[in-house]
Amino acid sequence: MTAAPLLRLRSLHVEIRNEAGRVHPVRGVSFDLHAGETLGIAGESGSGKSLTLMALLGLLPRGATLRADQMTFDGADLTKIGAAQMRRLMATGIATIFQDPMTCLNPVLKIGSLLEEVYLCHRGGTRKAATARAVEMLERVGIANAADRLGQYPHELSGGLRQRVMIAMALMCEPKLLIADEPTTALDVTVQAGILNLLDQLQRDLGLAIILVSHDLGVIGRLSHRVAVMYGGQIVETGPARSVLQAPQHPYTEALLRCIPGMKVNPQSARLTPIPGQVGVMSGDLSGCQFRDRCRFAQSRCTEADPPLTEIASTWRSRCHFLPDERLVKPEETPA
Amino acid sequence: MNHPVLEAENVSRTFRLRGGLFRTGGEIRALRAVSLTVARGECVGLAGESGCGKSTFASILLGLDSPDTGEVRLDGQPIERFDRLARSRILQPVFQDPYASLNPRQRIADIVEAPLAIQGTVKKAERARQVREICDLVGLSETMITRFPYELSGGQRQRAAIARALILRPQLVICDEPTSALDVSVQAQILNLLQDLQNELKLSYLFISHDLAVIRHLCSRVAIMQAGCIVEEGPVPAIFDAPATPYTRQLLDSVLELDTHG
Repeated sequence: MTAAPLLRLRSLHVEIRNEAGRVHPVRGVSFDLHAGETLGIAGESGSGKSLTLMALLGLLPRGATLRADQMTFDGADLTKIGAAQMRRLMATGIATIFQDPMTCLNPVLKIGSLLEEVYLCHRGGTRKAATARAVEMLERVGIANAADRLGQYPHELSGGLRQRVMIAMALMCEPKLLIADEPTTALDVTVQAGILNLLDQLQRDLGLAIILVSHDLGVIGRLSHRVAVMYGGQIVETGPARSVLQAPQHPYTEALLRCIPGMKVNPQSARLTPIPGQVGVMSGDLSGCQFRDRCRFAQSRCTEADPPLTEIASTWRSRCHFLPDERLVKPEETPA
Repeated sequence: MNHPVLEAENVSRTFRLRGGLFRTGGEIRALRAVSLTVARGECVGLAGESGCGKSTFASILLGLDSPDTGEVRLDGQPIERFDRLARSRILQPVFQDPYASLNPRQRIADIVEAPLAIQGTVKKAERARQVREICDLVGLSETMITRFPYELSGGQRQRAAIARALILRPQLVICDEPTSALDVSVQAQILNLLQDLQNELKLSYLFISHDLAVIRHLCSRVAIMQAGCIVEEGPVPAIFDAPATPYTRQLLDSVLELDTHG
């Protein structure tokens, strides 16, 4: 772990100005990612996880500005490079796959053209070489009769196959980092299992670094080495995936885990423990802990001061004023 | 007199594809002799992958489509005996996407009131009272119901959809993936709400989902569907602990389980 990280992010902030005023959806996100490592980013809608990624990719919506102390990928400063360089980097350095493969694949182009275009655009060379590469990548992502598939259109493929084509497309130019934003959310469980196995395999074979964004902690737990749980535009807990998911230190991580219906626990009689309230809008006065209104351990200190990112173990940190054994349940919040 | 709320017997539905310039004709056998019973107060899960026929089955139950062969009985009577108004008093749907299933130009109170207004049996003042009552039951405040759907969060919208389904006091609610578009924290709120409503109003549910953990949590019986057939059916604990068919086992193996502290 002494090698320089592939991606280093220090204190990333994103602000959006619109008619309604000023929103501050990402507030000081920092992490490192090394080659061959998977970082899972978890959190509810509105926690800032997608905007963090969009900031990395230079795809922030109009009116949004970012500032960061450091944002480097493979030695390049992402805050300084221009649009053309960014486009080049998007295929050859950072590749992305999204949730819905149907809306991301151009419906009027055949699979072959989609894949070859990426290669020709960034690598050049002959169409023949590009076709050979396309077949190779389709085989690599586990698609049978790859050569025949080149002549098909996206709509002729099932959801799972489309997602595999998307992964093949992302990997055409040998990127070092793959960003997967909810890659299996639109898929059936059995297909999901196949795609996750594929990502796992590709990472081993190609030494890819992966950032996996999902609201499904099961998916995060299946693939990630490290996990970062986001809430209110900040990382509230980060650490080794296994440790964080088995013994969460932050009340939000714990609450998220308690929401999930389990397969082993006694069904029927058991009630789920939802998180009361909803994710707040990130505007106005943002001092103090953002989770305090939904937290069953909240004290007056949570309103008064921003909780620091406290070290639990060497690579494990939690942003809470209180350690688990110091917490008191608010009296009115006795569980129903 | 204690008929099951819903009985489907050997329901089959085949869609014929027209041949044309680019494709040859053919048929899709969406449902093949599907039989399923939902008893009063029972919650039955229907699980299976996309394209297995779950939603075709739901459309037939809702009267949006009719079966080629087989019979559907509501409350012991063939479904054809009920006209649309009568059927809607027994059976109501809640759909997956609360963004698409609520009219964006109507206020929540009007959306919830609509089924009652269409029945035409209740006066306006009484309708307004019932809307407030049902919205209170599903956890929507007085101010919330004067808003438009876009002003509400996903969870609140799904509560509005549930209120609309319940305003006619139906016996059976058909839930088609009601929580798959929601965050886990909100999913937990909605699942608890469905459980409370079931106890309070003695409702029956047909709960369609591909999420087996949710079915295990909520349902007492489950039917597993594959390619238009129910391949396995029985009490939830029996099927989840000892699946008899390879397909059910495969589905169960695909569930990603976290080893948490419980």
